[in-house]
Amino acid sequence: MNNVISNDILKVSKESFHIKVTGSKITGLVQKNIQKTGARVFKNNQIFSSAIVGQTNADELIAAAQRLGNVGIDADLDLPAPAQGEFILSANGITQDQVLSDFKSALEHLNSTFPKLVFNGELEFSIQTKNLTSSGGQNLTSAGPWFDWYLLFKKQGSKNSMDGHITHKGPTPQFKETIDVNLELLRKLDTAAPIKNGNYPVLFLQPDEQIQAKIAEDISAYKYHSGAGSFAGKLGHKVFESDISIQDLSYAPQFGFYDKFDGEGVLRENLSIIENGVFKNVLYDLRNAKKYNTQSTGNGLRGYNSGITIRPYNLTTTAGPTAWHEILKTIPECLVIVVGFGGTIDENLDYSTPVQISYLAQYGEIVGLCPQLSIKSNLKDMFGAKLIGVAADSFVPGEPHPCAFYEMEVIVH
Amino acid sequence: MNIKDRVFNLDLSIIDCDYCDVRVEDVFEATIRINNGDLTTCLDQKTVGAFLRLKKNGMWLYSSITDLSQIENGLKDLAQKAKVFKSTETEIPRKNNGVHELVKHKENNYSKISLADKRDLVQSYVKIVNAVPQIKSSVIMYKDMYKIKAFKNSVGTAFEYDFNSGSFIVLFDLTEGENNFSDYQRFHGVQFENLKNKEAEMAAYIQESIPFLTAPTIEPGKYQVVMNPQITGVFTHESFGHNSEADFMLGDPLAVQQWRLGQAVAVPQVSLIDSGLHADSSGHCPIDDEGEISQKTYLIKEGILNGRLHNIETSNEMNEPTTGNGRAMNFEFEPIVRMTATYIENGTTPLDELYKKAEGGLYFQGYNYGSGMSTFTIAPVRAFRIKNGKASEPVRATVISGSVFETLMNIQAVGNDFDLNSSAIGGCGKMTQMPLPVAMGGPTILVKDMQVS
Repeated sequence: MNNVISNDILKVSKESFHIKVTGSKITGLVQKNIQKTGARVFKNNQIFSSAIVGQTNADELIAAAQRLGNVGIDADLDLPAPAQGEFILSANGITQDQVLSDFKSALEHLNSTFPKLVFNGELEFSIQTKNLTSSGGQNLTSAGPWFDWYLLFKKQGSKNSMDGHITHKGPTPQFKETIDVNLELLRKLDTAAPIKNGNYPVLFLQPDEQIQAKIAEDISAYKYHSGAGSFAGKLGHKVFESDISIQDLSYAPQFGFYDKFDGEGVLRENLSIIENGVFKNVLYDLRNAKKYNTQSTGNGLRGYNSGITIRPYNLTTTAGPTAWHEILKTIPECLVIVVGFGGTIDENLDYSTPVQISYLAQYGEIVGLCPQLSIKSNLKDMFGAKLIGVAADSFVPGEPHPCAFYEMEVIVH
Repeated sequence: MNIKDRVFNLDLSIIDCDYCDVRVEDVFEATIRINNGDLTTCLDQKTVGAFLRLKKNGMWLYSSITDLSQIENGLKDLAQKAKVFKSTETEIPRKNNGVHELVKHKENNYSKISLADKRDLVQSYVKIVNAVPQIKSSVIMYKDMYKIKAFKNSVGTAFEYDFNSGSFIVLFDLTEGENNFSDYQRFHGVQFENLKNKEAEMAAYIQESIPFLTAPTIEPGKYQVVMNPQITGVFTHESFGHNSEADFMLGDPLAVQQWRLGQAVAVPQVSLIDSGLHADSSGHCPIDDEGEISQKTYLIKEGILNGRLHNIETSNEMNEPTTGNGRAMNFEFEPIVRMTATYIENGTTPLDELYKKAEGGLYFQGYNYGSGMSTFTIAPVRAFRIKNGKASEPVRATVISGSVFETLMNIQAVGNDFDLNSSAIGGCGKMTQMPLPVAMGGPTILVKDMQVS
């Protein structure tokens, strides 16, 4: 960097349509179309930022960044090579009216099939467009459709605010597919399954958020080079069992991931993090790439109103060879985790989480709902000797995360 | 034109609907982040936006806009869209709550402090972190907000209100050989001055954290547990507060019976409250986003279920008084039933007596995470064995969990101390609205038979 003034502008426009469900009825509709824009001005080896919500233009943003009293941060980085590209996917003609009609039908189907359940939730159908331009020649745009819907359900008279949920995120709504895979679980909601303390095979229908967050934190350059993370000093070493491969997916339109560039304008490809158990890549932004004499991995993420932070996009375990229900059929007794949140994973990778909703399955058949319990293990064991297998598919067809089976300790409350 | 005049001068009687309201928010926010000593974010911004809400033919329609000249057109557009819906439901008329002007911080708020002064303050704390050789990785995050809201509805209620809040949090990872321990400390201030001169407190807290590097892990099992006010707060918020939000009972008359007011749900020493009236807290909300005045709501009074939290819709549906808990995260969202400052009232037991009763048990301080359904869970930061009437030996514990109702009946003592935990960083999440500023707290409490793992 020198004293030459340059700038970049990140514009995030989101047009969204929301349907609200309260007490098993559609009760509200929301329309939003909000533009949020952030600018960075590079001057005297400093970066000065500004951010505006609503309609604006480059001149207004750059003037705001250069206003008297604004504070810069050190710009000890090499700006990316000029790049242009449009990575835009359409909603394939899906209209808001059609989404409303299909969602209403799906809700009516659930209401008639399960009249003793109460549903609350929301659907969001959005198209988010990200455009990054710079005085250095960046002009990059990505966009695509996104559906994010959930229905929390509770048994009538339940003291809980929810007894479970049906949820899906992706580029298409998948109403039928999502409801179909949940039907067997919903039908067993009133059947209690006996389970005792002990070690069980455990099926994770979705990855645990705490584990995802811990891996994300520890593979960033901040943590890796500080020596504090659980992967510190282990680049190129085998850290997990060979069946474990993890990628950071930013562009996978089939899952609704549309990012081909990061918040600094660095073009990127999907990145292997763990390959057959070997730790392959640390995540870098431009600043840390320069600091540690390497290349940015395109993980300098930035909101319209934030600085750069190093984060993965979507950590996704590579699928195995066998479908989850086929693996489940081979297991005499398996705990199926539907909702498990509130746990933690510490610096030594000891992991424990309470499980709010789980079912017991015997040779692939759902027996019934388990009582409140906790599960525990160590991540090195889960991704090592206690790994039963990573499935070929996700619970809801078309989602990015394959189901996974581990041997774990179960503690019934 | 300022937002109050713009909103108060709206003529909402011309909008063809059963009910409508407009909320305009003018928000100043600053964010600073220091990663391992490097300043990586330093930014302030101002946002002005309006949330439009209208009910007609049994359907709510909402819209968020940033061009305030389009408020009237936006409402007319929503009214037009509502024509396709049909409903036989009778809309319950809303009451006019009058006009309220509740702006208190106009002359002294976070928008008046320069970004350079904020950066200098945050950077001054880096040396405290750097002075500890065991700290290998750290993040200091600073966030503040000054928000003015102006509101008007079609039955005549109008208000202008402001909110001023700032915090910084220091997150640090201690490493020594193969041993690691992560911890954090958070500070909050309604005014910027409240965030200054924290060096000694920070240094002492970090030193107290070092013994946890070599602390043994606790055997999982049931323990007698002392919760500090922070843990009491997250238990109160997650376990009981969310279940007291009346919107989850809509469409479920049986749930109202299950949550029948007047039944015993806790030991008599327990009174549990939600109140938006605590002016020094991040849960301060003297008037909600529907124009309802906040109040002190006893959810549990001396062990008896006494109330629940309402917005206007749930209050009308359940024929119970409003409580001023219709809150929205910002101008992009509609008001739903949310907490404000939620806490257990302090009791009469002196702390030394409380610790004596807990001999052989565990003391928990601070939390990383809390969640609640019928079973609540808390991931604590620090744990100690209680020996000789005090928290003595540091130990490691991952999760505390228990049944909400059993735990409320298992409370053995309620301390005579009290602390309300506030923050401008993070907040409460519900549905898609996160983070909403809230506060939570209470006294130190003693609970028997808690699952620790």
